[in-house]
Amino acid sequence: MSTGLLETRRLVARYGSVEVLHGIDLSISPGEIVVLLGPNGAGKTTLLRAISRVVATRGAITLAGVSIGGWSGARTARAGIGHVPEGRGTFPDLTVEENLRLGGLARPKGRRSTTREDLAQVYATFPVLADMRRRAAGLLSGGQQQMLAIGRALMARPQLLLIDEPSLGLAPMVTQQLFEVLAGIRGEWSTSLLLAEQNARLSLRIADRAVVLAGGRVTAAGPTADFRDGDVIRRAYLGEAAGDPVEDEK
Amino acid sequence: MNTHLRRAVPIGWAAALVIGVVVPFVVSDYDLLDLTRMLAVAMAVAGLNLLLGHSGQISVGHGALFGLGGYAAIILVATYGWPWWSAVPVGGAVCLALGLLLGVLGLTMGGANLGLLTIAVAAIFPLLLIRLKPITGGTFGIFMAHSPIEPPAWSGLTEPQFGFLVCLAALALTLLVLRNLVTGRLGRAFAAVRTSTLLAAANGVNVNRTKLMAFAVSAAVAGTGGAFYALVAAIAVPDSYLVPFSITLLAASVVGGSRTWAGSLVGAAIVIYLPKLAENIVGAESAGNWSQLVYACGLVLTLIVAPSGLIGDLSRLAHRATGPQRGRTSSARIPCGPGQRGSPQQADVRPHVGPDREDTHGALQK
Amino acid sequence: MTELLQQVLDGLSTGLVYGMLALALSVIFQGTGMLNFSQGEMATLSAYVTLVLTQAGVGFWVALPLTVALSAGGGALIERVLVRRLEGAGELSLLTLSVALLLGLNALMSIIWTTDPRTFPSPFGKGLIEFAGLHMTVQQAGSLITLLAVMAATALLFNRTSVGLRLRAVAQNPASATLLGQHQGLWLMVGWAVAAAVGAFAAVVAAPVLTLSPGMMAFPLLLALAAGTLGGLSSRVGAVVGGVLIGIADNLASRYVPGLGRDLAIVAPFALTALVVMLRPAGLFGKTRTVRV
Repeated sequence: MSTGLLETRRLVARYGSVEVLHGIDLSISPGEIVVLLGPNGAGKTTLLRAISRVVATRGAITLAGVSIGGWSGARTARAGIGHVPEGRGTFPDLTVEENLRLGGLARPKGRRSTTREDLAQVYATFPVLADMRRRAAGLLSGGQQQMLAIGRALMARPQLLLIDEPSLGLAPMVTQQLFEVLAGIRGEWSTSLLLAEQNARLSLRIADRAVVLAGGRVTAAGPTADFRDGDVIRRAYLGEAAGDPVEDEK
Repeated sequence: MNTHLRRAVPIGWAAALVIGVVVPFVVSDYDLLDLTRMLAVAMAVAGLNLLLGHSGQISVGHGALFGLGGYAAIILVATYGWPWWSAVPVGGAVCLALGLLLGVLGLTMGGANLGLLTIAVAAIFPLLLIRLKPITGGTFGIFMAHSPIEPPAWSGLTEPQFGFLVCLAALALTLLVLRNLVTGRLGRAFAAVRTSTLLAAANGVNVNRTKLMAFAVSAAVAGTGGAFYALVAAIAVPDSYLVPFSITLLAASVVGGSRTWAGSLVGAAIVIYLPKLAENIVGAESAGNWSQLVYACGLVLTLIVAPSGLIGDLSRLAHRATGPQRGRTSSARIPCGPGQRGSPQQADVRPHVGPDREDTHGALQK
Repeated sequence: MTELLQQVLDGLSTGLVYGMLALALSVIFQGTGMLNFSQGEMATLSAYVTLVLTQAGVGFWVALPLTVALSAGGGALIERVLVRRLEGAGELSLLTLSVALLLGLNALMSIIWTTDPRTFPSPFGKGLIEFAGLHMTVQQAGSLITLLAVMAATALLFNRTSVGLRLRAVAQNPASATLLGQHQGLWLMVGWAVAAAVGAFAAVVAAPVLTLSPGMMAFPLLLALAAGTLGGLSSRVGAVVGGVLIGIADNLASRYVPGLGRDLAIVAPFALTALVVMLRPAGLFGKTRTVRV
């Protein structure tokens, strides 16, 4: 019996009649950073969406031991799963601060009182947001929007934060900075992180564990140290890690 | 199996035509007038079908176009002594012109504004009729002692019989023309525009011209129907063409099934006979209100239960029953990826309804 | 000059009614993407409810909040029961639904209360206010103040409260709002409730002047649609400003354009709207966005 914060067993997801995930076993422990690697179309985004319950699935999925399979997206978010979607999903006409406040509205009841402190903490983590708090989010640069989206998700005080392709469309310098911040998040905000990312090099540097997805299946998984050798990833990307999906032993 | 059904459709139409030709000789002249009015209304509904079902545009003003065609024709006949067969095309032509104008305006304004524009026309039209009293006869309108569509002496037909046959022929011709229009090259352009303006533009379809053409033809057909209606009834009054009538036509198109031509007959039958039915049940005084309520409920039910309309969904059922096939009605529904209606991940089904969509049109016009 | 100012003032007070309806249209349009042709009928029904309540002996100032609450409930119900089912069915279906609602509510009111116009008591009493040669009835002034107050309250609701924040978020990006724990359906319902309540104020304030009949709001709604288009339905401020402009244009046209007169003056606001929209497709305050593929 695992003590994972999030557990999925044989998770299957489909869009209409097209099955996209074919039985994913995943386990994330409290405070852990896991990176989800894989080529385009491997099912990374779908897996994140399945976890945040905006895609219909079969199979078991539990958060801190509680089954969330039948929950709505909104309820799941309130229960402590933050999700920074692909393309960031900021509200362009709302100001930066309104975006962040909106994030704060989703937090569990017990944590309402610390909203103000958390807002200050977001601004401390991303100082650039503090400078632009009154500006419409649509006017921010790509990197700033990404920070806003992450800050907004943190305002909900998630136990688990899912981030989809944070580096997408960002300049290398900005990506570098962003990953430095991401590495610090789990300590400052006491949350686990599940990162779907194309940039294997940077994400492997900050993650504890990597899971490689290809064709809707887990093709490799293990501590990031195992993946430092580029060949392992390459093979996993190509789906050559034959046989059963690798079970991760903790 | 499907080929059977496909073959059955023209046979069905031929049978309907035969029955149509027999009807005037078995039905009383009094009842025949209602049937003739139904045929005229069916023309307007068919025009609306072209617009709504095939080019994906809306008009809440076809009642006004129907009225305009009627007034144009009856004025020419009653005031200027034209023969009916030359007045009817003029009625259609006047509406074609107005349709072009409205279409251009609507396209320039973009997006949902066509709805606004057409309902404005529907609202202003009766006011104009009352205002232009010297031409239109004001509130009392124009009426004639009997229908100017008179049978030639040699035929031995009564006036209602002849009127019915003329309208039947006109409707048959109209449906044939419309059908050929949407099955041809233009039909494919229509389908492309309806599915996605962006896609159509990317495939070299001139989106604006296609939409404009649909609107103009639809208006002309409605006007022609209106001309027949007014001439058969030998009367045109502003009260017949108020906004609710325009909405009723829209309802008829949707309820009958805006992508089937048979639907236009069903829709028109509802328009004509529902108020009569209501009158028998609740009396003349509130019959209009009750039938309006029934329309509304029927419209809502159709939207929710049978989005392809009565005929549309019936024929889809028939197709399903007769084996695997590319259903003629269902082929129009192009799945739009993983966010289709009814799929469970509704949170993502409705990205950017509203302003964005409107601007999609706006941007294309640039 | 005084004459012109007087016309503008009169236009302003009717224009606020259009602006109010347009505000309701805008709230629904932003939330559900639906151009709600039945907004006028919904508002008229609210006015009938007020009339019924006052005739039953309830004081006007008690009947008004009751009506507003009932209207909000009705609006929410329509969203939940009807609009929700057409989710994702497209603009045309939603427009058709709103037309069906227009037809249905109109028929329902005609059946219950007949189409005969009824006098609707003015809550503000009779009388005339004069100032610098301009005059205004107490009813006009009262409705002006009421509408401005309601608009201010609506603005506060949307811009200063967390309810408003959620409403705006769900309207802008429902998928993202879900990921932030907002129940999309709930907030769309609340949006409809707000719109219905706003419309109720418009009707109750306009009814003493227009006299109450099932078709009372038909022309105001048309003008509100024009107002929303003129100002931009994607902007609440735009809708209100559009309403005021339309009201003034309508009034000036009926007074100064030869041959138009009271009945055909409605042409002027539509011409104005068409002109503006041709130059700015999204309306005066609307946001133009490029196509996102």
